[in-house]
Amino acid sequence: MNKIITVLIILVSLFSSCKKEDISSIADDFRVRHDNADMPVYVYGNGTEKVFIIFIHGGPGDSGYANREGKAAAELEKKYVMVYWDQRGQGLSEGKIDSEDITIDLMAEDLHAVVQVLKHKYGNDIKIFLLGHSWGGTLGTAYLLKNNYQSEVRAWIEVDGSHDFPKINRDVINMFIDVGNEQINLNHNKRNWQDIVSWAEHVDTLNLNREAIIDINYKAHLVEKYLLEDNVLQKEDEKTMRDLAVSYSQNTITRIFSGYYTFMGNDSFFDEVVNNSFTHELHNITIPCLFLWGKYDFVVPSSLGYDAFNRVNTSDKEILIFDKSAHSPMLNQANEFVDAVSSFIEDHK
Amino acid sequence: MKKVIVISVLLLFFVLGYSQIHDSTSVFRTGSYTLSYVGNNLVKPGLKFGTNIILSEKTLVKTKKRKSSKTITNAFTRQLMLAGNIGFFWHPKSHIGAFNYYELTYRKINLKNGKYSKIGFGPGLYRSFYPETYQVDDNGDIAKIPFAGRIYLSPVLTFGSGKFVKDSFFKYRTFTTTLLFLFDYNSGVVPLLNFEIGLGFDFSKNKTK
Repeated sequence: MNKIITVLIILVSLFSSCKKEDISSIADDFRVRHDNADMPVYVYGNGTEKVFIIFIHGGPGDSGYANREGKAAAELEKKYVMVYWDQRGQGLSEGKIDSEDITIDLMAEDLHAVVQVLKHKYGNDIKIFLLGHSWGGTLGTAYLLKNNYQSEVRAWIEVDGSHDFPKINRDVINMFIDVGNEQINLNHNKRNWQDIVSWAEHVDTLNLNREAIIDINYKAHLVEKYLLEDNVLQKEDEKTMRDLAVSYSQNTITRIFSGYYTFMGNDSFFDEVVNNSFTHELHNITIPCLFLWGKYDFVVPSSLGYDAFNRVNTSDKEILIFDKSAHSPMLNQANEFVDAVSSFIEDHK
Repeated sequence: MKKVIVISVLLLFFVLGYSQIHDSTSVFRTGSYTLSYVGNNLVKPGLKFGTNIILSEKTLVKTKKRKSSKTITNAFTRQLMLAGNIGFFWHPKSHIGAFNYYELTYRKINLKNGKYSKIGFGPGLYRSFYPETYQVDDNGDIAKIPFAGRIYLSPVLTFGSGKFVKDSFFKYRTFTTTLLFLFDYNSGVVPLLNFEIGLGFDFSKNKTK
């Protein structure tokens, strides 16, 4: 019996020592502990080219892993490594955090910690691209502007992100009126759009309180439904089994509660975010940039994309507007989104 | 905190031991233990072991007369129990959650059909266990942390129902909804919802017939 066990141990040791890590198909998850927060990082995709795309999720209050759903993420994972990171106090992140300590600057440091761990784990020669969506655009911008962190990454891809929250609220009210009148003339959801236009005409953008800001964001998501009903927007692809598996791995209750404490229920961070503007610092960004926007994004209007495009201090920049998309072109026009991101990465990897 | 965990688990063994020696004359008044499947948020799988002792018991018989001159008699047993529970669940791609909690439970049993309902509350502890974890300090130094995770105080609220079963290898079946409230989870209190389906077993020789 002892001989059999010895032989088995030797065989297992031999096989395990011969096993090579298959970087063409990475499926890894780990946590990064930084400043009292334990943040999950999920790493999936093809590592052959050593291209790692860190997806900086929106919200604040969303989850990184949730963005693994959809055709765009699945297709990008076939070519590159996608890194989905649950930010501090969001998704399945854990920790003991004083809500008043949560700041954009601290979260930029969290992102720096994630970048450091990725290099520690996969090698200093990995090529990191940042892709920030919505609030992730704010956080990504904060990271690039801090210290010399932009030198740690190859390029910046901003998708419907915000570098200037007060500008969002000023610009989106005009967009409600302009697009609303356009849709009324086309007889699309006429009554609903008339209500929206009528409401927008009475919003005082110079005196927006917390309730007004939340109401604008609510209506921004509401009108997306009208545009989908009238086929102005391209419908998202059907959910696949892979998407269901991603949904299964999340925890909606924890995510909702944690996200609330971090942002909506956290006055200091909420106020910091809604008053934040990086407009006059964007000239300090010198790395290649790609700005991707949905034409009908009422959450963060495309005017912010053009503004960021014009202000970053690099000639190596592109902007692309998806004409049948709203706040998430990776869901509305997944194929075009993948083509745009892939083309940019191939040019800069 | 380690001392609290040790004391908490020892307390479970105390409840377990006491429930085995507890003497009783009632068919229901015996300590029991339960084995349950735990579904965190219904679908994240886990297991739970529980044990309970009956602290007090009262049987009530209610008689109602109907117009048809029929008399209906309902008999109920009301019990106050102390229960200790330990278990875990597995959250794929994220962590393993282990919990240990105690509850004071009120249970009402219909003696006619053996069906019961219960409600309980009490203190508890919850520990998450992460996969691979890297700590990054202020100097940018990176260190791998073994067995990383977080410990939370987790008072519990439970609602359940079940039925005592005759002539079976188990004493009763139980379905329980458990809400653990994790304190100081990030910046607040986060509920953890578990659904448990289990079987209760008898310690006593005086088994339900």
